[in-house]
Amino acid sequence: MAYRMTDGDGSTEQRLFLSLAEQLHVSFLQLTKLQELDGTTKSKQSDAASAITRTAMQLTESYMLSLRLRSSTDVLVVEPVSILSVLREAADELQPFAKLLGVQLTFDFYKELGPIMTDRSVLKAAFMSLGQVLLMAESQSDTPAPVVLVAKRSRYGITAGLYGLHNALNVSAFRRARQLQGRAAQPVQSLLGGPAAGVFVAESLFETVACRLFVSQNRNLKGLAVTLTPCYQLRLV
Amino acid sequence: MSLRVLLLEPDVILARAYARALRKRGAAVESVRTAQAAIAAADTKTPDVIVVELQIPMHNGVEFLYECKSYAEWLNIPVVIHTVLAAEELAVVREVSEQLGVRAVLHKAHTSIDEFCNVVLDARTARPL
Repeated sequence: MAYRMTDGDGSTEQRLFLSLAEQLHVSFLQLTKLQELDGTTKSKQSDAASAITRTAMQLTESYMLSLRLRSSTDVLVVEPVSILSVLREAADELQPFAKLLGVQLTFDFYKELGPIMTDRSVLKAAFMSLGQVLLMAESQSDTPAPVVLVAKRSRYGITAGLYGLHNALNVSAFRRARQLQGRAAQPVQSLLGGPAAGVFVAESLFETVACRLFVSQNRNLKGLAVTLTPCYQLRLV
Repeated sequence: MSLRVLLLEPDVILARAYARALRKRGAAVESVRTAQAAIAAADTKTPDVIVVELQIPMHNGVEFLYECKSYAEWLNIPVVIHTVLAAEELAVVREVSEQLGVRAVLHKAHTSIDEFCNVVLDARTARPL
């Protein structure tokens, strides 16, 4: 997508990060295309490489999207969206990565959730970024359990998020993680060993659609979720 | 008798790759994701070499090594650190490397699989850092 960065929007560093992300995106794209060319000699290795590259490319794209939205070079496209369809699409795209890590993706959806007015691509990118991290967190346990995509009615609207069994997420750890982001090698150590960039990219994206990522519990599972406001007027139509 | 390697590597994709490479070179590899699993595995069958990624969930690799070395029967097991962390982040580790039995510190980005296998297979005869 062609766009123009205007001077004065965002810092020099932000523009540098965006430039870097675009460059990395090109490299991942090259890798993906080389793998597609190699398609006739499909092997487990090449499938794995393809899943990894696409995941990295998706994270880079999500990051670029959040930067562009924050610097106002992109605008939100707000429309009625079914959260269930967004989560299903995100899960479909995460499936190859989940299979590679040996972690299942399952759903726990409540019926009859009304539409929400939001930007579909932003929500999907955010859930996919979050999904990558939860999948990796689960794969790093000794007995990986499924990662569950949940959408349910709550007191304040629709709570949608991703949950897993093997993480020690809590509110204070997550608060600390926000402070450690970019400063520590493992800002969310209670979740996984690694930078967990997908969490912060997801958080940045959710904030552009006026949602805040929070630590949540669903039955015996812990995870990260947002609360979305259903559009009651559309439900009447 | 094949070399028994305990590989503490939380990343399942990397763990598979490294374990496979070591097995091809004749080592018997036990691959675990967490510090607790590593302690349990070492308790079941004492390894000849321990390979550790420092960046692990819930703990860090240095804590795990201290715990390992607190057991008399594991005091002399050579350790190879194989990590994503940059050299600048490892100053503290280098200070205590002799105490922890560290024979080599390898950076994943700059170490090929072959080099990694060579270092691990030679760890028993290598001198402490």
